[in-house]
Amino acid sequence: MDERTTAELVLAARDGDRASWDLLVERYSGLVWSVARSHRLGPSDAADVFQTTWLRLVENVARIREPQHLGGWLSATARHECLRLLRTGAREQAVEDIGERAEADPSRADPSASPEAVLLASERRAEVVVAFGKLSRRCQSLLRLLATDPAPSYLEVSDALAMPVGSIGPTRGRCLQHLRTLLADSPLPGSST
Amino acid sequence: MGDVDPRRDADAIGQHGPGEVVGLRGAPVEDSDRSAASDLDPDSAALLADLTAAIGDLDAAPPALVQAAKDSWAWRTIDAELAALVSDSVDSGAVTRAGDEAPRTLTFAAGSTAVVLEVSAVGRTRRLLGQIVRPRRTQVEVRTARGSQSVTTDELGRFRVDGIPSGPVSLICRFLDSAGRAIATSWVAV
Repeated sequence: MDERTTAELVLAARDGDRASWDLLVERYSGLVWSVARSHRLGPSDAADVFQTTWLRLVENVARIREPQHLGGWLSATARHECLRLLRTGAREQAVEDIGERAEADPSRADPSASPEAVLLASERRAEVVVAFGKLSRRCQSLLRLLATDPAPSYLEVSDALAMPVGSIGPTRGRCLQHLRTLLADSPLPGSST
Repeated sequence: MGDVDPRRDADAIGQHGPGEVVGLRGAPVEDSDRSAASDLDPDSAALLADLTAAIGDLDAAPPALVQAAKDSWAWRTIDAELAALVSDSVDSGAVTRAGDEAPRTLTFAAGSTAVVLEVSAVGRTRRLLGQIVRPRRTQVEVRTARGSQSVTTDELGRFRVDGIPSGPVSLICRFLDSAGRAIATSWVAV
């Protein structure tokens, strides 16, 4: 794990260091992808936003004014590209429901876990994803973004969703509470026996 | 410039946060730099962790895209001046509907030179009709995530390119009368 700060990596990339660029991509890919997906873009549009955002950074890396806040810059850039794509309206595919994928794609198992533990974990995850699909759009957007590893900062969430920092905490609390209620109300068939 | 800082409403990062907290060594730590998944009660933290694990399994950034983002480093332009996107017909309220034939118009500007681009969908590909303003013969390199191709404009600076894959595109314009630096248009998905 490279311990250099984001600002240090940005400055090195600005000076032409390809390895630092690669580390920035690795560090922030999850965030940029989550911003696109939190705007309910399908895989192909999300891919366009993702690529465009990184290409924008390539062309602007020497102009970033606050390199320590690169995540906020990437979030805001990705958000604007999402809105631009949504406005063009004529994109090809409908939004894919992530809940549909829960059943098609069994969780990648942790090889060190027991078979029972793997099964329980994947059942739990499937339940969570199905319940997530029943949340309001606003909650899905916020929670999809928060469910990034590593989790985004308040500033990055604010820039990604144009949401005041002060309203993130309360909205997050309500959405998680709603998710918990949905999970309690609708266990998967068979899981209660 | 809009391209440099995409935040339209707040330049000063500190204004985002509800207040400052003081770090261990007395230095102010911006509240808004904290993880937005912090300070949750244990139940909520566990629930968010479950959701994060599920999303990580089902909807992580595709590895091929991550590699493509690394490779986009190759598109760095050292010598060209950046032409910012200054207008986009989809921003000006003209709602485009699915199946609508009206082309999208993008305008980029750098100094006294503008590039006007009309984008039409042809199936899954895009047709670009463009013009350099001030008109002059120009070599136009059309760059996409997959590669590039070049055309030369006519005397009036007009050009046409077909079969561009949908996705991000940027043009490098090199002026054949050799007056002026090359310009590169800001990347935009078409």
